[in-house]
Amino acid sequence: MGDRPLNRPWRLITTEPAAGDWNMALDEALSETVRAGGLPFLRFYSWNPGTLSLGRFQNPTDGLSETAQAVPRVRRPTGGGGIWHEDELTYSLACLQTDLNVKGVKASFEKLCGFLLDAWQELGWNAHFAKDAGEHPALGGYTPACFAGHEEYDVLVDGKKLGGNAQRRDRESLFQHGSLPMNLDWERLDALFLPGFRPERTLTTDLRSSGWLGSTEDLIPLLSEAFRRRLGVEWKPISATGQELARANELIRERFGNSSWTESGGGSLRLKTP
Amino acid sequence: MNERRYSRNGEWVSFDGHLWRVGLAASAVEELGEVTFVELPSLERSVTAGTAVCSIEAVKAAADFYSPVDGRVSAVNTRLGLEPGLVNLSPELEGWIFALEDVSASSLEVLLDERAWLEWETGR
Repeated sequence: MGDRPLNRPWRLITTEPAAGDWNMALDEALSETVRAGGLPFLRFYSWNPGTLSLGRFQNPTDGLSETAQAVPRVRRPTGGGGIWHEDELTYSLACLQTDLNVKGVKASFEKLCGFLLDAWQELGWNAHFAKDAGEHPALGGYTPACFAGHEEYDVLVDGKKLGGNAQRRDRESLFQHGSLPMNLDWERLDALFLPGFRPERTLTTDLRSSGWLGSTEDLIPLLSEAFRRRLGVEWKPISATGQELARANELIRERFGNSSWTESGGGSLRLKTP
Repeated sequence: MNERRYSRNGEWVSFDGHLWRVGLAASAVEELGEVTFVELPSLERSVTAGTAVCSIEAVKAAADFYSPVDGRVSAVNTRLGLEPGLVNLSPELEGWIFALEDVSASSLEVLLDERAWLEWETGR
C-alpha cells in the first residue's frame, strides 16, 4: 500500500457470464482501446458454458486427455498452460506501463496481484506471495496445466495456490488476467489433464476451501475496493462501448471463435512437454 | 563491426562476419524471468527497428520482442525450439533469437555501444 495515486481513472467493468470466445474477444477489444490511449480497465466476468482455455502458444494436446479435446476450448492471449473455467470469477485488466509507477515484469506483477493479497488478508486469511512463503515447492517452469505451476507471485492461502495470473506485454502496455476458482472440480481436472500433469490437491486450493461463503458476484466489491486502495485509483463505471462490442464480434470471427486458430495458435506452438 | 550494440529497451545486435544476430540483453532477460518458449519469425521477413517481430514467453509473462534495427530475417535460432532456456543461460551468445541481412546503417547508428548501454541501464 502507499503507492502514489495514479493520475487517470480506471474503468470498472462487470459483464454477464459468457462463452470463452466472447470473454477473450471482449478482453482484447477493451485492451485495444487502452493501447490506443483510452482509459485503463479492470473487468470481472465468469464463464458459461465451462471452457478449457489454452495458453497462447500451448500445444492443444500437451498434457491434455481426449476428453479435453471434446469440451469447449478457447485460446488465451497470455502464456502458460491450460485452465478449466467453470465455477469461478475471472478478472482482467489492461493499462499503459506509465499507469503503473513501477518498471519491469516482477514489479508489475507484485503491484497488480497485490490487490488479491490485500483482499484475502482483509478476510483474515493466511495469504502470501509464494516468494514470501516459508516453504513452497520449486518455483518456475512451464506446466501444461496452469494450476500445477508455482511462481514467485502466485497468491497462496494457507500455503496453497489460489488461482492463477498471467500477463501479456508490449513496449507500452500490459494486459493481465487471473482465474479465481470458487470450487475446483477435481474429477473434471483429472478427466482433462493426463496423469503427471494434473494440479496437486495438496498444493492447490479454491475460494470455498479458503473460507469464502458468498457468491462470485459478492467478491467483486471486495476485490474492486482492494484494487482501488492498492493502486490508488478512481473508478469510472464505463461499460464496453458499441464500438468495442462490435470489435469483439470481429475478433471472435478472426481468432477466438475460430477453431483453426484455437488449434493452431496462428501457426506457432511450443513443442509437447516430454 | 563485431561489437554488440543495444537499443534502449535491451535488444542487442552483433555482426559475426556473416550475419547480424539479434537477441535480448542479459538484464532484460533477468527481468522477464524463466523463458519457456520463443516464437521465431519467418525467414525472409522484412523488419524495421522498433517493431514487434515475435514473442518471448516466460513463466508469468508473454512479451513482444522488437527488432533493434531494420533488415531482413535470414536465420533463426532453431535450438530455442528445444532449449528456450538458452535465452536465460546465454542471452548474449547462444541465446540469440534471429539473424538479419540487409541491415540499414542508419538504424545501427542510433544504437548504444556496450559502455553507453551499461550507463543507460544503470541510470534508469
